[in-house]
Amino acid sequence: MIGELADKIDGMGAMLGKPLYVLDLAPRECLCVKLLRSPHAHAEILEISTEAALGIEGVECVLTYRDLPQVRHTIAAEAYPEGSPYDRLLLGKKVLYVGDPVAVVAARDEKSAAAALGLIKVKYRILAPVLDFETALDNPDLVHDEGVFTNLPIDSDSSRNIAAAFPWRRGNVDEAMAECDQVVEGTFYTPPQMHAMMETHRASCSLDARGRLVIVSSCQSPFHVQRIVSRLLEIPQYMVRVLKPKVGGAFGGKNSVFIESFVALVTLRTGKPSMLVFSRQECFEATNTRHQMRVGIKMGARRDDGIIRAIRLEVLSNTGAYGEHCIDVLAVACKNTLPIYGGVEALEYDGVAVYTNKVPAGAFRGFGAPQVNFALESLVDALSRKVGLDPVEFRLRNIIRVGQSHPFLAGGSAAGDAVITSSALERCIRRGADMIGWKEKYPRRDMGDGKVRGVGCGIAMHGSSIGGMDVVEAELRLNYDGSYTLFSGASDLGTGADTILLQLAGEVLQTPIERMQIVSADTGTTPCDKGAYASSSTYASGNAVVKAAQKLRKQLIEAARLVMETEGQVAFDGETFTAEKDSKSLSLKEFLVKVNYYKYAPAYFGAEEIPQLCASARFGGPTAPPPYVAGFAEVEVNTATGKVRVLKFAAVADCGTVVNPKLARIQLEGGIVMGIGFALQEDVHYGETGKMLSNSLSKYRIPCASDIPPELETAFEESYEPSGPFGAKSLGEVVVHTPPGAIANAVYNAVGVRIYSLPITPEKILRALELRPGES
Amino acid sequence: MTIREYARPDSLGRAYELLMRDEGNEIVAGLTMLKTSDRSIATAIDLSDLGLDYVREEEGFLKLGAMLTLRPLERDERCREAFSGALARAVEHVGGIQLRSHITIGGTLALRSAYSELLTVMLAVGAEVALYRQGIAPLADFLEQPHGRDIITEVRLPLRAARCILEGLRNSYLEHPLLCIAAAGCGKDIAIAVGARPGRARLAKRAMAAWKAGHGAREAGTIASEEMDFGDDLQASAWYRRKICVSLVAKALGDAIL
Repeated sequence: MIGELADKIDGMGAMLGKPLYVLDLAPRECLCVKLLRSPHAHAEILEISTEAALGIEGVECVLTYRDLPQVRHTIAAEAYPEGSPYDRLLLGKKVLYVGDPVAVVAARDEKSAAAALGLIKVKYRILAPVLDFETALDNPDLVHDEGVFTNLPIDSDSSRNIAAAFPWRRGNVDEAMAECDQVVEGTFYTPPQMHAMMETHRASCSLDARGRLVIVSSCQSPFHVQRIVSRLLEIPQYMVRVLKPKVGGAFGGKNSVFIESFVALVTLRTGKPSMLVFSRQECFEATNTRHQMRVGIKMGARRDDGIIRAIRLEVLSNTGAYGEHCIDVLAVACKNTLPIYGGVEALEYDGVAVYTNKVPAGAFRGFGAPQVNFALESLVDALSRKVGLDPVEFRLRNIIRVGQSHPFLAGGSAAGDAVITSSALERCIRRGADMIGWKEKYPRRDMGDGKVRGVGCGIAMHGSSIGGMDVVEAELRLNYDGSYTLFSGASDLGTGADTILLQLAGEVLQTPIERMQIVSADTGTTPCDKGAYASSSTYASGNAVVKAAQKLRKQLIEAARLVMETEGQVAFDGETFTAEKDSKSLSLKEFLVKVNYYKYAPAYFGAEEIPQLCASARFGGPTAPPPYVAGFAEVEVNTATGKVRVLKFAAVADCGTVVNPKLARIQLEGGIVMGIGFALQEDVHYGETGKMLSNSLSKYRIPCASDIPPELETAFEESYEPSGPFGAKSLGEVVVHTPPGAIANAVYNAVGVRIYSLPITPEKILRALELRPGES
Repeated sequence: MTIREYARPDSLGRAYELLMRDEGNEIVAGLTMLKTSDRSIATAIDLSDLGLDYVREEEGFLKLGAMLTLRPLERDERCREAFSGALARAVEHVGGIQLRSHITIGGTLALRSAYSELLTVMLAVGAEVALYRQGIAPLADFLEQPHGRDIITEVRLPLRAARCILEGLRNSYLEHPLLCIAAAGCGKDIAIAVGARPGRARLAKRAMAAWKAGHGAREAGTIASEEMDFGDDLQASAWYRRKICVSLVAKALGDAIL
């Protein structure tokens, strides 16, 4: 039910080691698939010889670009027609980053596959790589020398190394800025963060009795995978089944089709089941990273009223060798950041995603918003100081309110801009300020001995599904025993979506989730769903589930009325139908016996429209109502070493109605920790020739338990979103945005230096302190 | 890493004989670093049957056998008491308990990692390494140059230094340090070792002399920062290391005499 602190339905099973994941469900005797990868950032394959590899015992096939149709596509799992450019080949003659696949090997076991990899001989002609995203634009060296096809107009121009561009404006920024007596600007940099999910990417493939490909994949969007694989291998979609079992984490990293086409190909060619598991190194080097960005912002306000009037935002995004999700990230970078401040008269956004010969960037929790949020919240603090207001007060004065509109919110049309329909952001900010002790601690406390403490804040918004695009379906069935089965294409990534959806259905049907089961994320059995991205599972998939449950409830009541042979209102409390008119009652159990035996329910079967014991519903909506988080950090800076310790982080979220407080709290805590990693300790290094060096968990440091601040407090302030399922919005992405801005602001408040690039390292702080004249 | 053959000799002599028989033969211990490498080992020589996993206090030394792993090291009472607990502190950030249960003293010594806080502490307390063929060598010498094919049997830590202060600066809990300082001794007799420069740990002899002559902690730190070589790596620059060397040495000295 809503508000229930339900455990994840598969939590205990997972902990007890039940076989739930892709590897657990591996087909018997499946071939081991491995990929040979390019050692060069940019090269052309002159010769490639596979004879020696094929000679190894146990090797079943070795494929190169010569064996495959050269069909350009995108591996981005997103709604068709995809926004992402069609710039990928399964295997091409050119390789565009260190790690780009060059050959596919399938063998009886891992040893033979590894041996075969070592025997494939490749001769490369090395080409000049583009390695600096700040000089990629109009660089004479091109990453893609072919004209890149796009479904939609995204201002792609591969002759300039542009993967996509997204300009957007409202009003005249120059004029509005001229009227501001206080202006701040800055340029910020964020690195290509890595998902580092627990379970690396893997998928298996086998043939069923009808010769259909059955792909079991650790993925986020089985329906998109099905469509893409079908198109690439030129087989009908109904001959491809994709199902997602339990997934060990994704965070957006499994929202591209990295593996499924390869195992499908191998199984088609050999007639045998196959499995490809990415090593941790491949996960780092050869999947997707977050888009590295340079973010430039200029903002103006007037001191007399403290209102931000003009914002100019420029984003240069590094999409790496291939452009999956590049346009969405550019769009989200402004749509899920700027609309948190209402009352801005003029807005200008210029986003450009450039190609480089580096690891391709793609979907990652936040999709561009965390990068821009860092810059935005840093400058909002700077502007608050110029205007002469406390940073919390300044934000409270400027945040958008219910009823206000904003041009960058999803759902706008020629008739008018979209409007905010729910918000508890003010309460989130006030409560968070209280939790951190803002009044007592702002701006700083000198602890002596060179250590200074400071508090800082950062607020964030995001979206709930993609307004005007996402369409999802759900089906719900009452079973013979009085339990229910929910069929949803939604993808639980360890997020608890399966549990949430059952809670929503259970709320409508007044049935505890123990008596409900869910079949999810299987193109063979569940209805179509976009999958898990853009924070859609609760809002979009949940809305479809609620609608289906409401439909089913109505039908069950109608059926009960016929079976009871009564008229008028019939109440249903999940267990019993009661006719108001004559107080007849019928238990669910009796109802099911009657309704499953023709002779017992002639009125029911004689009805013109026999009410069904199952219902389905679709949902699509124009808006993406923003959830909010207010984040507050207390840091201690050691001025002798520059080391920053986060002593406390307080985060208060508005995700609308909180469907499951336990799961919501885990999302918020996990997101804050991921944001702290992005803020303080995760950096990605490349070698001079373009090889990614941060390719293991010992080199790329995500927060461990001891990196979590000793005090991490979370809370929720509920609003009620009328368009959401029982008022719920979303939570999955917004939780990650606030730490970089809040920590950067806390550091500034403590020691007076502003760091413009992530991660905020001790050396950066010490260098900045050195540059300040006469300050400690 | 691949291993062709596996041997568990029952004596040091036999182990040494195996080691010298073929260039491709290697002593293996915790197999944590080796496992992630590309090495091809002909015969892996496992010393587990030689009883080298001891902690002994004798002849004024704390003696640690080469096959002792870091987990029993940090839990052993004698190791926790010696040198004001510096040994346990030195391994606190190494992997997790799972890794510390595999990583050996011998492996740590053989690797001569610049980032090892344990080696930095051992250098400061005046450790000696016992090798099967070549005998005892001061750790200071052992760190400076490779000692050829031999078997490390134990490390001995003289117990005369009552206190050892370890100051390590790292950006996140499990990373190796950007710099680490170990100061061992008391009064004016303090050995200062600087590790993760990013070069291997070395004694800051001029700083030690200045401290002995009565100069203050900050001044000794400044001298240490000037006498040591520092370098850039992906984590930090030479500039940064040199800068924090001053305050870390000063703090270590200050705490050492408390």
